[in-house]
Amino acid sequence: MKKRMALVLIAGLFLALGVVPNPASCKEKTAMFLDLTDLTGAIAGLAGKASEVCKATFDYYNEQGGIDGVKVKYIGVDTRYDVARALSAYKRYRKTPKFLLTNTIGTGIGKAIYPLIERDRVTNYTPGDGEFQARLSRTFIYSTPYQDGFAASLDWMVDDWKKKGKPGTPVIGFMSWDNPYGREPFRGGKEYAQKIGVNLLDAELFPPGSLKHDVWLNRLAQKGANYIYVCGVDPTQTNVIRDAHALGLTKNIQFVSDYWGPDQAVGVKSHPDALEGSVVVSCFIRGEDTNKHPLITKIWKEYMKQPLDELRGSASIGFSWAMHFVAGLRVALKDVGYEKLDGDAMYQALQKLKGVDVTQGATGICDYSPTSRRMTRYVKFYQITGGKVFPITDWRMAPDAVSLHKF
Amino acid sequence: MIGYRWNALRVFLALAFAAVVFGGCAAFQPAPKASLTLTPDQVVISPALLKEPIVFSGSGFGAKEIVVVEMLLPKGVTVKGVSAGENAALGNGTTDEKGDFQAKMGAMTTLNTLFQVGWTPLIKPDFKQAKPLPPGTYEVIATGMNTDRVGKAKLTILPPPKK
Repeated sequence: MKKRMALVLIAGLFLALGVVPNPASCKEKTAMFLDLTDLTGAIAGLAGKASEVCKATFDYYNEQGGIDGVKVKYIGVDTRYDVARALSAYKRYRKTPKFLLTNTIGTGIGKAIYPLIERDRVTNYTPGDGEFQARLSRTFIYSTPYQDGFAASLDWMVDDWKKKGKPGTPVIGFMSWDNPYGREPFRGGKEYAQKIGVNLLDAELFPPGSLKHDVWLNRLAQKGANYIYVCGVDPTQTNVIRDAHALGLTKNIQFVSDYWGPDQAVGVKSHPDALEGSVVVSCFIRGEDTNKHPLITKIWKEYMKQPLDELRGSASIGFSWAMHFVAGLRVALKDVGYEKLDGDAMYQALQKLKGVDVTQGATGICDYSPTSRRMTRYVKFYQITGGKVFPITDWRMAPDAVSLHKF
Repeated sequence: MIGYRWNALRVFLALAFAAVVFGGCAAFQPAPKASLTLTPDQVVISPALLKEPIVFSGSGFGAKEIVVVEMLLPKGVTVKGVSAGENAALGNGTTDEKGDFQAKMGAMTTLNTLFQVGWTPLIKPDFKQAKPLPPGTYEVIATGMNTDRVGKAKLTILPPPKK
């Protein structure tokens, strides 16, 4: 009887002190990646596939036993590219144990959510807005900043111009969506063009969803553009170049697209003739490089269960998201151990990846550090030939155009 | 023996009482009240909502906090991209120093949640795929992301006028 009374007393004590064993501590160790993506909305074509590959990459690592025994809990939410939905989803998941990082698919979403990232002391990924490099914070850019990529393209155009034996410097046109993303390359890119002495024409901005682009193309052609840099999300670039091809402009004007340009499984597949010879600058491997990447192809075939000829450029983007998280998690676990693993530990860990080949060559060497939120400084140039996407340069360091602009 | 059991029970009750008093009293404190108003609060889903969107006004939240406005989905009502049991977001805003906010429903939200449009590869809303939210009265909540204060209101979706 005394024994029973003692047990009742101990149980009461535990109840009073709230030290009932936590069932979660008996479960497997996990770390959460919250992907605020777009699966059915405006940019689902690019974002949705990238997110699927991101999840598949985590599945691959989880099947190997996780990262030093910690499995990645991937939560993907379809925000439909809508800030309100992203905030609502963030509210729902922000208190999940071991929530380390959120991936925000659009710059607007990233900026709206940032006060909460700061408050919750976690980290986030965002696309290439240079402002996040200019003002260092807990937001990490998951690409080379847009203006840096544009500046690298200006250098490539000048080199190409010289290689062709043309005199002076080329005249360069710029076409993009009329929104903050579309205007971003100019914030620093314009200053870089002045610095290297090329004639950069005024930006021709058009609404996303435009069906025809003849007006803007003709205006740039009349101003004597030798090169035109095109931004958007494929098939936008494909359709711009398709229109240019129909107008006969591709004979004399070299088109260069930004990272989200013609994809081997989207635009290149539908308009190979119009795109013949056009160039893409990218901070992720694409085309024939992606087809040869051992881990991406393994994940695509075995975890995505899709044929290689359907492999998209966005595969390397989703792969890169996952691999940087994996690399950061590995460092954080080494630094603080699982019990103390939190958003702060991840924030510190990501800043230690500078100089590391995080993605097995799917991106350039990582640049994240206490003074850099650039995923990498490196970009590569690709050309569309015979309906395929081939590399025409190795990784080359993009100029720092961010620092040329006053944010 | 009876005395021992009685003493043990008293100790147990005292500890449980202490747990409730010191550990749980915060839960019983009434939370400061927040309020939410929708203007208009009765709408027909039509393109006019893109020109004159619903406006959310709230007060009683914390200063300078993000507020998320969501619709509670009744059983049987689904919204594209929203999993069962989740709320459908309608908007967001940031409060001023007094804890008041005002925000318009964004065009993207109007298209995605009220119209439930599809999207073309050219990033244009596809109204052919639209499945507008069914008529009815829906509960709407606004939640302060720092204070967890909640304001409530109703939104009535009216049936489209007969042609």
